[in-house]
Amino acid sequence: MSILEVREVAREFGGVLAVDKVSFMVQENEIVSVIGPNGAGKTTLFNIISGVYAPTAGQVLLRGREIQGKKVFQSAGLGLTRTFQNLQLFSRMTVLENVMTGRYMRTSSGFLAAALRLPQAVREERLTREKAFSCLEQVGLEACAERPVTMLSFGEQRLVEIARAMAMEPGLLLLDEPASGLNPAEKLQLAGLLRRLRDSGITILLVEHDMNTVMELSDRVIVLYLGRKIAEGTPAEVQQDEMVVAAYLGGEKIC
Amino acid sequence: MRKWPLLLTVLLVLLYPYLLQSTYFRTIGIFIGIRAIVVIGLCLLMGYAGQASLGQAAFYALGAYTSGVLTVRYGVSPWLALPAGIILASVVAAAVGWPALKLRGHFLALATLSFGLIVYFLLKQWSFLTGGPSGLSGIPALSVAGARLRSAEYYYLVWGTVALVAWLAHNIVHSRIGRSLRAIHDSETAAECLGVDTFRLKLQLFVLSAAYAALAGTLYAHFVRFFSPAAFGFKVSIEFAIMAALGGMASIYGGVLGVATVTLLIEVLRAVVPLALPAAHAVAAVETAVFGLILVAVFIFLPDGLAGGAQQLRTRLVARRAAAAGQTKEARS
Repeated sequence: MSILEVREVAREFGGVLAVDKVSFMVQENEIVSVIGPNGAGKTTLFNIISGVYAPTAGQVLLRGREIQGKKVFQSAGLGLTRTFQNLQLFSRMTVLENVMTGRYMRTSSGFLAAALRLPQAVREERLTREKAFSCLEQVGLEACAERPVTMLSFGEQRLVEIARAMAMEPGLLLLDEPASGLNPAEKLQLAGLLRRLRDSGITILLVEHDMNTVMELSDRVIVLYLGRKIAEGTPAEVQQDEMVVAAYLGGEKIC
Repeated sequence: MRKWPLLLTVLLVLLYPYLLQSTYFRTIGIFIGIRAIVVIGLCLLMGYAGQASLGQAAFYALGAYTSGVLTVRYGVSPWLALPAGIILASVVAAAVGWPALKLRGHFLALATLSFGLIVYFLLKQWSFLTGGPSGLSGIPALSVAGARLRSAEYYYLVWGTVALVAWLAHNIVHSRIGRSLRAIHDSETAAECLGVDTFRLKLQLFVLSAAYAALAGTLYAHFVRFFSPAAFGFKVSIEFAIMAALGGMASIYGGVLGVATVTLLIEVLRAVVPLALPAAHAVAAVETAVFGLILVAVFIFLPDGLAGGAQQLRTRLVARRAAAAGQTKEARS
């Protein structure tokens, strides 16, 4: 069974179809990219899958369960999380605390257990710290663990956001333009990290503008144009697709 | 936080009744303790989770009046009235918070503001129960095993309670729940993406802060033993918010500091203002103006309150000392 299935999903904004009957599947342990010129509907599609918007038609299935219209935290509870193009870090926390927050779903102590420092809460807190630290090690930021997250560079902050998502151990990770704002060295580092994540069992769906990253990293690519899916296939197939080339002509050139 | 400011505070609180042996100062000490319980709850709500309440005096009133009415009108033991007040305030808080917290933004501030006004007017109108504007009197003092608590003992009871609620609050802050609450403050969207049911957590915290206020209200009722709705008006809610803001909202310790500062300031104003301005309403007018100035000054100069200011000062001093040490080393080499 595919981990994600998008079935005939549509979303209308005041008479304009931002996404028009888009369907595709993502299999376990794949890296799939959604690309398309500006205004193609990538971000809207992303927001529908992650639960920010409800679709006006169609279904989104996560491991066979319908999640369209569910609250964001409910989808997260089913193993889906995302990162943000413009970063959504917790600015008043240290790097480690940011990542520790990612363990929320994997821990259970509530107000009472926390207030009374019940043994369960104390044990969970220790495990949370250890797990968060190991996620930071995987992105190479363990030395910055105790620093305020706002002191880090943009590229490092992006890695913190990914580490925070990793801490959740999601089944499916949505990445919203993870390469934007990164320098070439950081992009290479990111690609390596995403491949390691995929190998560790996290399926990845990303929206990305940076064609080098997309073509190098993706197992499959889905191309949107004016709200519709116009192509789907391996990077090599998509690059030779006439419709894709036409859609990008005059706009961005696909490499 | 380092250990010594906490130890120093504990020592000061313990020795205070012996250092200033007058009924007046003991009363002030008790009031600071009672208000600190409200403000610690408010610090959790406003400072950590970023949800403003401008009606905390209403929950304080629910605690006080539940105790007052049950003991005076129905002869219930104060020790049973105490949990009753806390439960009533919690249930009411859930009912007020439910619709307000479903919406994002500052709806809780608006809802609590109007809720505070409603409670204030009901206290005045429902004379058959509350005694109306002239107040409720004859509330029994607390007694343990038949012996009435004297004011020195009451002082330690109140501050023991402060220590307990501060400890609970501290534990919450440094836990999975506390982290998620701070996460809500910074980015509700990101918190949701990590699976945090932000509505539920905010509601639970709001109920907890109301329970703290009701607990303080009960302690207030059995200490003053007479009160009227004036003790729970809009101005009192604002005072609580100012205490939290001045002390440093994201610090429990700072909250207590804010209560002490504002309470002592009010006492000073009450003593000094009549000397200069003999008009009857001068004190109230000057108080309002001074609170306004404090708020503006805090927002401009001390966004993290006194606690944040002290932290900054320490960081700066450490940096300066390090720089000085570096210079001497350079000079030597």
